[in-house]
Formats: sequence, C-alpha cells, structure tokens
Amino acid sequence: MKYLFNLRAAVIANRITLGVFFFLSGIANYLNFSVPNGFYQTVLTQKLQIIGPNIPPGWEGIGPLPALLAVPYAWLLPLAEIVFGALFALNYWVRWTGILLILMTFSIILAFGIVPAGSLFPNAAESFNKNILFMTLIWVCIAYEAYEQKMSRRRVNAIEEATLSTAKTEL
Amino acid sequence: MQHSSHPTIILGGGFVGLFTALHLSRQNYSQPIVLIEQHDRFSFKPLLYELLSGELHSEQVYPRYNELLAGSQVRLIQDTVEQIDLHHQRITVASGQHYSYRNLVLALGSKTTYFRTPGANEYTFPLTNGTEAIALRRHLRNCLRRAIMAKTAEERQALLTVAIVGAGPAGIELACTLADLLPIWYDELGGDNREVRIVLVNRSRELLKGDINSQLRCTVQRALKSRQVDMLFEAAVTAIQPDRLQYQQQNQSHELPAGTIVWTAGTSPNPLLQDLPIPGEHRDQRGRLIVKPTLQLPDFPEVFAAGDCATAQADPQPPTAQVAYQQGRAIAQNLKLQAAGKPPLPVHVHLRGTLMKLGLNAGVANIFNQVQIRGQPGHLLRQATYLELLPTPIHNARITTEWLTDELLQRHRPFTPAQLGQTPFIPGVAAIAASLILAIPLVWRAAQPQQFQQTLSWSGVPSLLNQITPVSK
Repeated sequence: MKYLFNLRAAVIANRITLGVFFFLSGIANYLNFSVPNGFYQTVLTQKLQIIGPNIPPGWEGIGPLPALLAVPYAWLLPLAEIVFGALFALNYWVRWTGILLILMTFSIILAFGIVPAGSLFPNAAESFNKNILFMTLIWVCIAYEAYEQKMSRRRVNAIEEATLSTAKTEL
Repeated sequence: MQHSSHPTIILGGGFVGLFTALHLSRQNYSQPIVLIEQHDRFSFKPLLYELLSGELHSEQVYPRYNELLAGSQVRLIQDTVEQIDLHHQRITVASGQHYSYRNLVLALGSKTTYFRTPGANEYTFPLTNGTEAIALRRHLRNCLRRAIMAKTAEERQALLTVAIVGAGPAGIELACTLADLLPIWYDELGGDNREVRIVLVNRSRELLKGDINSQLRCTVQRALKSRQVDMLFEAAVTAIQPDRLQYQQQNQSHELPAGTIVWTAGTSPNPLLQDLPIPGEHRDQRGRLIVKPTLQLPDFPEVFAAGDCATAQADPQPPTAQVAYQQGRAIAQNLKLQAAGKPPLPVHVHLRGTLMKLGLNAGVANIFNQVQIRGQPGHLLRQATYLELLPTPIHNARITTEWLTDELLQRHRPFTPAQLGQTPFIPGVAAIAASLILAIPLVWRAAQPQQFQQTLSWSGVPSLLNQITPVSK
C-alpha cells in the first residue's frame, strides 16, 4: 500500500513505461520499415488528417508530405524514439527528452487525426487519439521533475526518513 | 666545489620538485637524485576541494611519496630544510644532517601570509595541503553537528556560517564547493539547509582581480549568485576571533559571527628564501627569486628555481599546476644538458587555458582562453585534465580508471545527482551511445536488407530479427 499511494513511485512507473514504449516503438518501426504498408510507406504516402476524417465534412487531409520532409522524418523518427525513449526511462534530461517526445507524439497525432474515427462518439473506436494521453503523461513527468528539483533537499530527506521509519515500524 | 659524486638535491616535493625528480629518474639521469620534503604525502593542490568534499579520496589526490617514488632513482629524505648555503653548496636539515649538492633545485613553494592580521594565524583554516583539507572537513562536520544541537538561533546561525577571506580562485572554488556541499551534509543530519551561509570576504571590488582567471569573472559571478553565496566587497579584515571576523567597510567596523573562517587571501614565498645571499635586484616585490629564462639563478648557475618561489622577469607565469608541471620537466631537461656539458635551454611554458571548480559536479574550462565549457562537461574536463597530471604513469592510469568507473557507475559518490538537481553526464552520454549502437544494425537492416542478411548471417542476428518480423523484398 505504501507504493500504491506514493506519488513519486507512480510518476517513476509512468516514466519508465512511457520510455520503454517509445524505445520499443522505435525498434518496431525499423523492423517493419520496408514491409508493404510498413512505416516508411505510411510516412511517404499517408495524408495528414490533422483533426480527423470528414472534419470538416469532405476533408480528406493534406499531403502527403513532400519527400524532402518525409524521407528524413521517416529515417530519424524511429532513431529518436529509441534514444529519447531510453533516456526518458532512465531519468536522464527528462525535461528535454520529454519535450522532444511530446513533439514527436504531436506529429503522429497530426498524421492520424485528433479525432481519428471522425466523431467523438463513434461505435467501437476511440473517441479521440490516445496519443494525446501520452502527451499529457509525459507532461506530468516533466512537471514532476521540475517540482522535485524545486523542493528543498530537507523535504526530500524528510520524506526518505519518513519512509525509512515507516519501514522500520512495519518491520 | 662541484663534486661529480654529489647528488642533485631538490628542495620541496610540490609540483615542481616532484616532477623534476620523476623526470630526471625517467631520463636515467647520471647523478644521484635526492628529494628533501617535510611531509610524507604529496598534495595535489588543484584537487584539494575534491578531497574536502569526498568526491575523490586521499589515495587519489594525497598519495604517499614512498608510493610515488617506488622503483625510481630518487632518494626521499623526509625532513625540514633549516639552511641553504649557496656558496658552499650545502643544505642543513632540522635533524642536523648536512648534504652537499652538485646541483640544487629550489621548489620550496609558498606559505600562507596573514598580513599581520591579529588572530588570523590562530583561528583561520588555510587550504594548501591534504592535511589542512581533512582538518577543515572535520571542523565543518563538527560545526554542523553542534548546530543541530544549538540552543539558540544566534548560536546555530554562527555555526552554520562559513567566512572565506579572499576572492581569488582558491576562495571562489571553495565558496562554490561549500555552498553545494554543506546543505547536503546538514540535510543528512536533519537540519534546515537554508540556514547554511557562505560569505566571501574580499578586500577589493572585483573578483579574481589580477588573476589569470579574470576572463571567467562573469561565469564565476553567476555560479556564486546561483549558490546564494554572500559577497562582502571592499571589506578589509582587521581581526579574527575564534567565533567571529572583524572587518572594515566604508570606514565602518563590522563583525561577522562565523563558526568557520577560511583564509585564502594571500601567499608569500618560503621564508628560507629571505636568508639566501641574493641581492634585492634579483628579487621581485614579493620577495620571489628572479631567475634567468633557463630557470637558473643569475649568480649561481648550478641552482634552478621555479614554481611559487621564483619568477622569470622576461616571461612571468601564473602560479598554477600546469606551469609548475612544465617547469619541472624543463628543469630536468636542463639538468641533464648541464650534466652532459651542454648549455641549458630557455624554458617556454605553453598555457592551454584555465580550469576552475564551481561547485559539486560543476566547473568551467577556459580552453586556450577562447572557449568556455561550463557546468558538468566543464567539471569532467577539469577533473580529467588534472588526473592526467597526476605523478607516475601507473598511479595516473589506476586513478583515472577508478575515477571513470566511479563516474560511469555513480559509485562512491558522497552525494547523488538528484541531491544537486543534476543528470549524471557520463551515464547519460553512455545511454545515448548504447541506444545508437543498438539502432545501427536496425537502420542497416532497413536500408540494405540483403546486404545485412549476407554480412551478418554468421551471427544469427538476421534470423532472429526475421523471426520477429519478415523482411520485404
């Protein structure tokens, strides 16, 4: 129960899960890079949905992206996912890696649309792009890191001491 | 008077003395080499702050001379020099022994000077060698423990105040280090770190006035400000008492209660130099010996002098470790030339920039006085550079490996990066490198699947990846 209601433990678990997810996504994108309908083909041929299909009515999206943008994006996005995912999970430069992961996620949201089903109330589909949750979760990690740095060292120690004394009491 | 059987005697085991001895020994110098030093350990002065904070341990920056000189031709005499007779080429030490020399190297360094400030000698802490660093560390720990138990707020505040006299590089490096370190130590004892106060007392209005590091003034000011170090400018210290410092500022007398007072305000050449038969025109204003470009004394060509106790008028150099290191090597070369009957060569010191410690895991490296590298990269560059200067290749390699391993694995740290609000630099860079190494075969497979299959088929990696996902044709 001690960890269940511990904000720090929750944020750490959240950060590691997100980092590992991006790390694995990057590997998966390279592994499926050239397969039919694989990552490379999708980036080069997919239209950007922005909001969603038929929003506004008749809207099919823009693009696809010009090759000058799409080719470097396709090659570098998985690499960035691997590197920044690993750094984020390991708690290295969380503020900066987090901002970059948010930007990367935002680009994916624009590609598939904020409301990918074309309606906020669809049948058996997501109401809005679940990647938005990734952005907010990363934001939580960044904000917590900034907050943790702001907290006085005394408070950090006090928490650690309290945890230790709780553990001793439980023992 | 020059007997070929007499040794070359080196007085002082600081940077100049030790490196002269070691270079002579490595070059198979034909004469016996004798090093006379009063301490049993070599103090690596630029890294004393690390010894104080616990970032590096005593074996790394405060090694025994016996270990450093093991296997060399150098004979160490642990004694205090009492008298130097330049005319008779003879040294007298405190134990009463006399030693005649063929060549002499004066590397006596400098001593802390207190400008006749009452109480300064008795009640302040200098920081010029390992023993003093360890003593200061113990005193600071003791003050923090007493502060926890203090009965009144005034008593606690005094115990938690550290006054550092002198805003030269030593004072600034110490102030930044203590401003980071003491709150962590005090936290560990359960105290309120906001009560810790570091005060830098400076006689002039400028930081690093007239120092080689003066280019770094803005960086230093930012470092001090971010650590909330209080600065007292134009404050002339008039007296020191056991628990307070008295100073004059704008013609008014003030008192600063402080449990710890550290003196970094000035140094003067070793008093032994005053008794040498060298006329005033061959000394500078501070009493240092003026030497020829070859680092020889003008009237005594068999005597070389360098480091803090000498200056070459044509090419004065700052009193830094990198200068002393190069001077030690140059003196060894000139002694060898002299032994071979050849004239000594003028010494040219090449300054590669300056390095300063600006807190725990923070520093600045001013490379060739052109590029400033700050923060953790600056700290790593500084430590790596200084560790490369450590005496003897074996000691150097062992300590550098230890340091790199500790940095990479974050072992033996007296504090965590989280306590400083930092990301450990080397592990972070290692994580980036590991990710890139992992990504390289994946990128290769995506770009050239056939080539990847053929080239790495022996390793089984392509088959493994194919099992996970098919390769497109």
